[in-house]
Amino acid sequence: MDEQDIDLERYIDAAAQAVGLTVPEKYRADALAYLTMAAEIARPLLAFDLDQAIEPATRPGLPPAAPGTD
Amino acid sequence: VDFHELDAVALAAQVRRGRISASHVAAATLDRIRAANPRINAFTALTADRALEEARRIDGTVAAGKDPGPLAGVPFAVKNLFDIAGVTTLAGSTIRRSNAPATRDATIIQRLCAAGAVLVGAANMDEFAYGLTTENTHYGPTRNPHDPARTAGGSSGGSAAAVAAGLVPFALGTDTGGSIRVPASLCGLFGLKPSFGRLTRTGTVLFVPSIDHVGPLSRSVGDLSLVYDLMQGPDPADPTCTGQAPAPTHDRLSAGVGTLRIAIAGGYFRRWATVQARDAVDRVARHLGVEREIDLPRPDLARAAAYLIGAVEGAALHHDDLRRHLDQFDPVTRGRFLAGALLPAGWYVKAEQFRRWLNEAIDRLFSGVDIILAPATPCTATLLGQEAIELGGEHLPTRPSLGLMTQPFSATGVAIVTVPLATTEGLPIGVQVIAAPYREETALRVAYALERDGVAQAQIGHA
Repeated sequence: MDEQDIDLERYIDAAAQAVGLTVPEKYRADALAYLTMAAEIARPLLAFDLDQAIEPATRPGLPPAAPGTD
Repeated sequence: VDFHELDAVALAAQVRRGRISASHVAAATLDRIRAANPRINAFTALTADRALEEARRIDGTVAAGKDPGPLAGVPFAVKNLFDIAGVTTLAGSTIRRSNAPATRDATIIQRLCAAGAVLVGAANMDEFAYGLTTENTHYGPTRNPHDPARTAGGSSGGSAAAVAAGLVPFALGTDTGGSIRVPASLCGLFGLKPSFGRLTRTGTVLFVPSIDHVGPLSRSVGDLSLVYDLMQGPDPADPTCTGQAPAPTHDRLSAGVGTLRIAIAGGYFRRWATVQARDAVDRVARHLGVEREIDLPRPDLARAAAYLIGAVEGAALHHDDLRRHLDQFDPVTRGRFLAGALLPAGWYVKAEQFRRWLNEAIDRLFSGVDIILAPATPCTATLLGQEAIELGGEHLPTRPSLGLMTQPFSATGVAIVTVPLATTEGLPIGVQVIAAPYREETALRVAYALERDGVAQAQIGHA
């Protein structure tokens, strides 16, 4: 299965159990809605062609080594 | 002139010369906040005893002929995620309400108070900074001083409303997806999101550690730059804070902008902007003689990456709360935090890989341009409770869409000043003046020129 095509109905319960969270029925629809929205937002990003070996950036761009003047 | 209408620089000058006492300023400010807060709900706590004590100390310093500091007697507020000694740091939540009070001020508050500023209170915000409208279910919505039926923006909405209502000359907020820039735009203020790592975050409740920035909101560029200068400096306690020497900006504001290479952000930033937002950018561009339009590197994906990184990191910080206090979350944030806790790790890693690509693309972009202009929000302030807005011919959900213009820059660490313009609707709107990382001075110089020439001006709202 393509990563973008996760079955979120099944995923939400399995993932919650795996990370030690409980999603009560009264909050499930809301959480599922946001999970669905996140999946829609992620879809084009996951499809964006990047070298798989590219090192993740864990923070924004670093400051210039020697700030110049305008 | 009523001192409430003065900016911080002018007010401090009056206090330093002994023309007005810091004690009078503090007492009158507290009275004014007590009168206005029931209407706009900007403050969640006042620090009255402390403010009056600090003001008396400043008056004593002036009377002794000593220097009380460049912000002598200037009242200010902070978003309630900044630690204030003796006050429980709420971060907009009730989950933290039973926590012990903070034992010391956030480092950045210490620096401002050392410069003579007087802290008068803590300001309302979206729970844990996860929002752009300050519609906080626990503490009520903050209302826009220009129209109390409308949002002040968020998540630093209380800070923005306090400044826009003329209660304090400046306030501190934080910006992850736009939480300084959006309320600055909707409340008609100047706002600074500094470069990532430029200002210490010690003593703040983090939302997204790899994207959070602290910064000021004010009614003048002079205040924005002075407050920013006074907050700079290394902090070994904050691993993200730069070890670079402070780069003062205040004395360079009038250095001019004639040689700067400036461009308008096109494509995505035109498509999703309303007429008011596009017109505001065009007015700024015309004044600066700018016609060049550029496309930024995949702003749609930059926004998506910032969203995913924010969702995952934000939820990770609240994992224990999600397990133990799920019922206590604001209904507005609970579902988002739960979803964030469950996102696949591969999505987060892809977002961070994209951030590497984006960082490099932004570096290349700024080799050919000094300043980029873009709307700060796609529209003026929306109504509180408004579920949808029409942008680019589509009906979109209001809350996330207010970040359409700010989120593409969130994970890049660039320096951004938001400048306020009037619109034909009667409501203000902001334009982002965007500079490369660690080039705050360049953005502030442009903002100063726009303010000096009357193109961008903050107005006090009297609603």
